[in-house]
Amino acid sequence: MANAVPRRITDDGTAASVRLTAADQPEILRYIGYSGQVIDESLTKQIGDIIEKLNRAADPKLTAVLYTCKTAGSWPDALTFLAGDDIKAHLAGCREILLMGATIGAGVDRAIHIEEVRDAVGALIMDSAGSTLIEAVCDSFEAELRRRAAKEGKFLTTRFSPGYGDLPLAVQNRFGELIEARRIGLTITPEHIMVPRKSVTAIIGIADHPLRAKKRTCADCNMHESCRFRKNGVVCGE
Amino acid sequence: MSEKIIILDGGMGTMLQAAGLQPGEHPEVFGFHHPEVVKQIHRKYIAAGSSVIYANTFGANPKKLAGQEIDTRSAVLSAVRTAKKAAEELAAGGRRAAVALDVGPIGELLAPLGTVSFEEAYDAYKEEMLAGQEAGADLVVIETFTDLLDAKAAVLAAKENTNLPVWVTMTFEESGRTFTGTKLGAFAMTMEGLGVDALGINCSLGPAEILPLAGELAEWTNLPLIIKPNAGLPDPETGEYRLDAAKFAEQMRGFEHLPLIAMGGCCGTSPAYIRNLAGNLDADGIACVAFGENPAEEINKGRRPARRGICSSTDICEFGGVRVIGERVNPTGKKKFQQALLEHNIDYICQIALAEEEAGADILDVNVGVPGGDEKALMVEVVKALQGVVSLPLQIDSGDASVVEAALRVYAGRPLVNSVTADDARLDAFLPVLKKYGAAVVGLCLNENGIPQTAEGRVDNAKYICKRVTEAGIPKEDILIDCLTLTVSAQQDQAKATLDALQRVHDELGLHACLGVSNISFGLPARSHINENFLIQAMRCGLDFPIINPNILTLMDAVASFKVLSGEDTNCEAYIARFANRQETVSVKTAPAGGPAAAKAAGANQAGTQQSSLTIEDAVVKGLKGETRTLAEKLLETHTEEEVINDYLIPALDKVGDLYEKQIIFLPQLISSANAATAAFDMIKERIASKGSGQISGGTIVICTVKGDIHDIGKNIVKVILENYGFKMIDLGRDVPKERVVQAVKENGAGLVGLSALMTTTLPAMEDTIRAVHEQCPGVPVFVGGAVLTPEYAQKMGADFYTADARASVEVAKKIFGK
Repeated sequence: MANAVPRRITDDGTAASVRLTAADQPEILRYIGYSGQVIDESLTKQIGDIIEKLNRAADPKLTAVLYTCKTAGSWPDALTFLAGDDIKAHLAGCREILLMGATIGAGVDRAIHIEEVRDAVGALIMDSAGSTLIEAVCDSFEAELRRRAAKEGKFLTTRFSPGYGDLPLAVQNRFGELIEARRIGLTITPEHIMVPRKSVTAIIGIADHPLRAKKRTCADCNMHESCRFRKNGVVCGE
Repeated sequence: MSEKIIILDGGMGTMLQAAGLQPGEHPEVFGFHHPEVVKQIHRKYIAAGSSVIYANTFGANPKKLAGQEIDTRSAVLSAVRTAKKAAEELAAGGRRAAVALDVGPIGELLAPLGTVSFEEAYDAYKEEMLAGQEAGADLVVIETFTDLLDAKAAVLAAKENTNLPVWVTMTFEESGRTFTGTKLGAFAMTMEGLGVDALGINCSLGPAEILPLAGELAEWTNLPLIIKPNAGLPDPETGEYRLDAAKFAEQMRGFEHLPLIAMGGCCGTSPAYIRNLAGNLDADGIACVAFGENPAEEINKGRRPARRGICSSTDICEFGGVRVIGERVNPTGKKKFQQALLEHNIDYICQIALAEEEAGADILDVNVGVPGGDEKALMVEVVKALQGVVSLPLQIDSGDASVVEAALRVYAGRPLVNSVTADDARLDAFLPVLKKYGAAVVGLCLNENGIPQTAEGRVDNAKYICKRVTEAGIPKEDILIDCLTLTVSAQQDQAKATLDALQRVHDELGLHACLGVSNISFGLPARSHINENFLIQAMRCGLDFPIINPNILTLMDAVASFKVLSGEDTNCEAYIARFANRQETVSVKTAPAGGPAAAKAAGANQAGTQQSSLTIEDAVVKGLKGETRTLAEKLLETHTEEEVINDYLIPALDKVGDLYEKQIIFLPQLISSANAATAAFDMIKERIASKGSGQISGGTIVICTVKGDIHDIGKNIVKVILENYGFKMIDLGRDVPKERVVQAVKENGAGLVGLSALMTTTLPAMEDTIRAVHEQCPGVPVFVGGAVLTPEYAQKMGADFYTADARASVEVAKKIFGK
């Protein structure tokens, strides 16, 4: 029995201030399945306009809850709902487990919806730009956590989200309650969909020793069969 | 602050956790099993000085308790009784602490952001309210809300199902907005309109951060305020709240100048915080009183809100100056608009509203009266859709009080209603509705005998309306009088009568005035000159709410100029900003009918004619809208409509599809091409319609994202592409129950159904929908698509076709409709 006392932590404001720039255009295009086609000026300009609108609409918020295990590998009672082997493998050797939630806010959903009414291309780009931004926000938060951990001589795993591998999406609702997702305006529907849509929940392990980077492969992914990146001959990760 | 204040309790969650509540465990379930533990917490707060305690019912709504071992009623009965027991045990001098039914938000976002409808939310809260009343709660406190419509559902449920006082507090960020963008003023106006007894702010921030927000809140309402802050902001690294009990109580002194009825603590506060708070107030000579001992009237003696207006949840139109009401969301005399209403093509209506917003309107009039349409159902549908897209406050325009009530109920904000008249029958029907929902109102200066021909007669009607409306408890400041514009070419003396009446309504009655302007010029050439001149004269007479087409630049320019001359536009800032980059043309042109969009298209047309070597196929491939349309028009000089479609447009689209499959172009380009073809299709459709020679539709397809799923980018792309192959698309939107799909197939005689789902968790809903269509609409095949789908899975679910992308859906449709 390992009864961990959770500690709530948030970002210092850095991650919340992340916004997109013109340099993010390739990433936005990648989500739309771009593979080197010739792009004219008007599309480039449209992407620039959408980035501006998205940056205005976005209001990133983050929260996390940190569980300390009695010993590395022991599993806090509160987290036994995180089913499957993959998450256990991901957290192997970790003494602390961090559950995080992040969103770029309901304003982005609204902005996407407005584009949907106006112009399907704009909606597509806004949607991709939103995905790009939430990932960037999470990356920034992860980097901040890494810095904090480094000060204490600790090391972080990569982010692992509900829906990866054999960790079912159905854990999403309980996950949301644990991190008190409402504090960042993040809700989860009975179908386990996060609203606002551009949101992320993830688990990060923290260990006292360096961790071997586990490269996630397409074979591990539950989107393997239907991935739109793979269909276009590209991959989603780095 | 008054000399008396009610002390509320502090945080419940952290106290429960300290007493054994597990993370993620439902506090209501815990409390149900451990009433003694909860009672002890209540006792500590009462002993510390709380005279109102919140029962442990924050998450006791049926949505949140779904799947738990107890239902809403048993959770509420248990928790309220526990709180009352604590209050009774510590009762002194015949007085006990009051027990509030604590109502937290539903826990999901309401549609259109989420999947919970306003009506479902209302029903959930109703269950909670009925149980609270049964359990003997002394008041209802609705708290920690971030969505104005969600809060409105809870308030209506409380007021319609209990006779308890209703307090409501929302959670704001330092920006003065909630997570969903609700503004402080919008919250205050909407809730005051709904007749709550007190309102305020709780959670999220500490006292120092909430203080300026509370100050702004007080500007917008006459109601006394409730403040329940967290123990400061949490430290990002440790999660500890930063204020201790003494510092918290000290910061709470900052609220003393505000009209407060109650204060307490939220997350991170404990009985020690409440004890300090009560101690400080005592030291300052403020009496901590029992619930009901400081009536609102006393707190607000003689105070009037400094600011007034109407609002959506995210935008406020503050009264005091000229405010433009956009008139375009109205089917009168517009065939395409009427058709859109009858076909539930709500996107078209949203586009018109968006254009008005961009053109600078301050309020949007919404009228959906069309022969053959169910006005009430359409009004609700359109209002719900509009508030997901436009920020501007709406003006609900109908002569039927039941239509108005249906719209007011689902509106997230405080709207205007257009209109009452000086006719008693109409006033009797409208006034209770306006009062219940707190709307501002337009009064037309006519009565059952028609429009008076004299200014005198109209002013009399205005006076009567003012009398009746204020008697109903609606403040005079919320009345807009419409002195009625008649056609000057038919009744020339009437223009002056209107202006005279306007002047007197403004000067003598001190009421706001609105006026539809363009009717003045009906039947005359070059109408814009008369319209502009009349508008300016009317504004000079006191018209502050002109109802105009905001897409007409000259009218909006006249308003901008008027604001400079009236002094409203301080330092001419808005005027300078408006005209800084404007190149004035000397010649006077008639504004294009369709506004800016049409002007842009006209510009594109000119560009198109310059590149005369461009073929229609090139234009489609390059996604050039104006050129495609122009070239199609040219082809129609020598070809029939069918020839242009079948021999030019469809082959061009096929070529685009081919380029897409070969990855020479990618998705945005595919859509742009489809949109270019649409421009030509629309033009051809209009030509055919005007000739009355039937439809060109290649078949009707019902399409939607299935129940529970809210991802619709992919579905929308499929819709755009199929539309461009001439198929008639019935788009039901997202989160669509199977019954609606079946109904739409039957009503429209659809020959094909397209379903989309992006999540593994919504595939069961897709399977259900496929089965329902197959059972109830035999012979209608279903194609499916969406990120998580595979051909194998689609087949397993019983789908007739799997489509990997929009292109594939075209192949399916062609096959089914034999093209």
